[in-house]
Amino acid sequence: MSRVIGIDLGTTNSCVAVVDGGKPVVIPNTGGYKTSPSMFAISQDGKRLVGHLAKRQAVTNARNTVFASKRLIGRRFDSPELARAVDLFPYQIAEGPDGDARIVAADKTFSCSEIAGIILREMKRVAEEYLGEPISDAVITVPAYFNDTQRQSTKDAGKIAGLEVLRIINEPTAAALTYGLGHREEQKIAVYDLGGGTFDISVLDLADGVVEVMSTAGNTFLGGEDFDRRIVEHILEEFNKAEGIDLRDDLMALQRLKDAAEKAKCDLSSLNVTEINLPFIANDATGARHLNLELTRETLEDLVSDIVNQTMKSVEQCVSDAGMKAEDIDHVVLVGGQTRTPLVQQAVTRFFGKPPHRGVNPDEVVAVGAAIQGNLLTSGDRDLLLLDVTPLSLGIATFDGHFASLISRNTTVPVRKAHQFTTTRDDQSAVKIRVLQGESENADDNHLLGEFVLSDIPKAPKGEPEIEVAFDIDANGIVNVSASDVASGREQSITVKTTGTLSEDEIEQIIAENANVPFPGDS
Amino acid sequence: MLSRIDGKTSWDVLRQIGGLPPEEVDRSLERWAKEGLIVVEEAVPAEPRAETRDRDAADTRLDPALDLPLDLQRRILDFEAALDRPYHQILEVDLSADAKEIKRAYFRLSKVFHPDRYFRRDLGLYEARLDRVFKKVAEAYELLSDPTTRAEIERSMGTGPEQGAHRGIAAGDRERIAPESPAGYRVPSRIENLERLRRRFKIPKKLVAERQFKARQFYRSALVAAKGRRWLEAAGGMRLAIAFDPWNAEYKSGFAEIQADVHRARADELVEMASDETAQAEALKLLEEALHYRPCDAAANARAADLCLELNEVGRAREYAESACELAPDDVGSHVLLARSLRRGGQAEAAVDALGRALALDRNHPEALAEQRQQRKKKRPR
Repeated sequence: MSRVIGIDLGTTNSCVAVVDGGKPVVIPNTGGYKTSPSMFAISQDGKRLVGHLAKRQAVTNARNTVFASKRLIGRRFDSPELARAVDLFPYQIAEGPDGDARIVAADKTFSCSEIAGIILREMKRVAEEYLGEPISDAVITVPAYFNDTQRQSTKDAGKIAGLEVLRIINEPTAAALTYGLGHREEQKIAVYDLGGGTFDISVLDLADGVVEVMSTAGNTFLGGEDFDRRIVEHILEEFNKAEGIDLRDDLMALQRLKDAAEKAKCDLSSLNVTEINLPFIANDATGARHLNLELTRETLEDLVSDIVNQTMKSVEQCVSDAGMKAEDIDHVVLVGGQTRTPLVQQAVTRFFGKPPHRGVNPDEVVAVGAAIQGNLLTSGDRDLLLLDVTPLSLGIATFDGHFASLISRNTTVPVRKAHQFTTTRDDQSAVKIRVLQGESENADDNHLLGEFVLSDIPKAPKGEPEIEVAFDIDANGIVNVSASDVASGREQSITVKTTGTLSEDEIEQIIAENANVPFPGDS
Repeated sequence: MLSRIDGKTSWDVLRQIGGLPPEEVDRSLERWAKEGLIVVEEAVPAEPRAETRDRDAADTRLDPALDLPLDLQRRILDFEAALDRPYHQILEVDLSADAKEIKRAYFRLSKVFHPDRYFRRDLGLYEARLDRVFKKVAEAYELLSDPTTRAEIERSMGTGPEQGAHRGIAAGDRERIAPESPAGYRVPSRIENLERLRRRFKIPKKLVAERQFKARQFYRSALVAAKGRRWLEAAGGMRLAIAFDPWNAEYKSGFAEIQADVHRARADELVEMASDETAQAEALKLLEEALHYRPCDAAANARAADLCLELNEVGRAREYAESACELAPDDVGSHVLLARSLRRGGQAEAAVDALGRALALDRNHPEALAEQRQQRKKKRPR
């Protein structure tokens, strides 16, 4: 049987790992890097580029270079997050036929699942090259706080990449699995995961070879990219003050600034001051202008302290959801490159009253955990068992616009809960059920997963028909709904048509299209 | 609501269709259950497709062809057969178990029953069984790991921690409704709701026979009262008969008959009361009430029309006159009343038609002739 790879499909970087000879290994790509940028581009001569190749040409080809598409996946085009992204991203974002967000590069429109699929396919290729065998199965990680639509879209991406996705697991959970493999004693851990575009916090209970997720919280639109953006804004302002030139509309300059900001941020994790040097950044009547700016750690911390504070609010909520206090946590594990920032480490240390655990590589730990889970599922290895939870409450909209939660957040999956519905009018023949995910009491503030109409209800006075609607969340955190008429025992097969995901046909079509497009990496 | 108690309808449904506020339904059901008027049926399976499951569950053969050791198959079957056990027994822990022991038990059982352990294996019917077993184990842990719900569970078993730990509580004990606190109605906790909303009720057989006997007695005395035109007593008796035996259609139709009789009698009474001595407005009110009980009384409609005209309520007069004409098309007086209402309502042409119908029936009817004069007077130019 072929091996299962674990893929951490990150906002900025992706990483692939496998369990080889009982030991998890992070797989380096052809260039020797253990992570690859989650970027995709179509070059001027029409070539498709991915990973480092795409990143390298981003400066000269900003409009056709797609990055951070994970921030868009599974989101509706009219959502507030999208409005922000449209302002920020140099590439074009369009509305898909189903109200989903799509990406335009070199005049071709891609669904977000397709872009993610291209990146996953690259990771698959890296693994196949390293292992010298074909790979078909994968475990892919997503932020714990991803909703059902975002998970479905990620699963679709796997399909597009030619992978069977055995399981979608939460990133902090994957990190905890990696940690749990080396730490068998009973303990409570918190995983603080600040990645490129998302933030997650989970509290887990480790004992007797079982990793139980107790609670999870987070923000799917907050991460290292926001740090970079703050720095970029700062540089733009400073440059405008000094030179009177606004670089905002200069795509190439912006891309250079973005790279420089990211580099400066990394520098300031170990240094107290760094220099941002961008010669020939602009031209005007008097000639070329150069950008030369000193950035201190203190300035950086001023720029981003509110973002860090925001994450700490989720941390508080998560710990209290687990029914614990900060001091009950035995170890704190940091995940995601952004946790290298000293300010983040300080905030975490202050909250938990103990310094974070330093044994894991924050960039690789998630992919390793995914590989471990893949191995646990398929190899019959009885070392560890993962008990994961659903991060968001699942429920329905009531007729007065409220949200009735049927499966509350942090319930262990798989879970099935049945609920009885009835009619509100005499001889009512159909009931419309809107399935939502979220924590607001107001139905409209939650994420609409889909809606269905239960029809052909036998005629009866109001309140008499008993319609049992069962809500299932499977081990992937993906939602299924079925309904049956209790009296007749007849089951109506209902699929909640998740809005904004691809249909089977579309996926097939994309796979067929891509089969003919050569990748530079493919031999 | 009693009529809904048939051993099939669950508490949850009763709350929704009882016609009473849900709290009221809870209160009544709890009181009746306590008084022994109703008994709780065995718990209802929480999942749908009961038939398929029963069929599958009945097939309890061990299958060596499956990718699952036979001893584990046996264990799953045994566990599933006893899913109705108290939660402590599901987790295989003592009532006195502490939080840590409960967690360990949950982890231990998860390692055996979690579906991930058998990923992609051919499990046949055991796949669904395993799923049910794990979900039950998870439910037990969810409820027992929360001190509030755990206390509720222990209280509902009648063996709170203060009474010391006992083992082996019969499954039936759990079905008993938690005793009501002296302070009256207690808001049910989450666990109680989970458990009890699935309950179904039935009325014990012996009680049913007793009640049917009593119902028959009430019915008989009601019939006697009806004969003596003691309407209130008769209606009360019928109501009691229905309350004691809601399934007997005879009582329901008996009640309907008595109601009709009461209405008839009441209407007669009202019409009589609305005699000439009564003030016109008062008489009209009485007549209207009588018409409520007996809407097809042509004479009463005609009288009402007449009174309306006297009181200058032309619109309503026309309505009553129209009903009277419809109910008794051969009554000349009604047609004349209609003609008068129409004329005074300004509908001269329709008034002429109505009068024409009256005169066609009787061309010497004095009131019709009087109306004819009125109409001509109006037509004559000044």
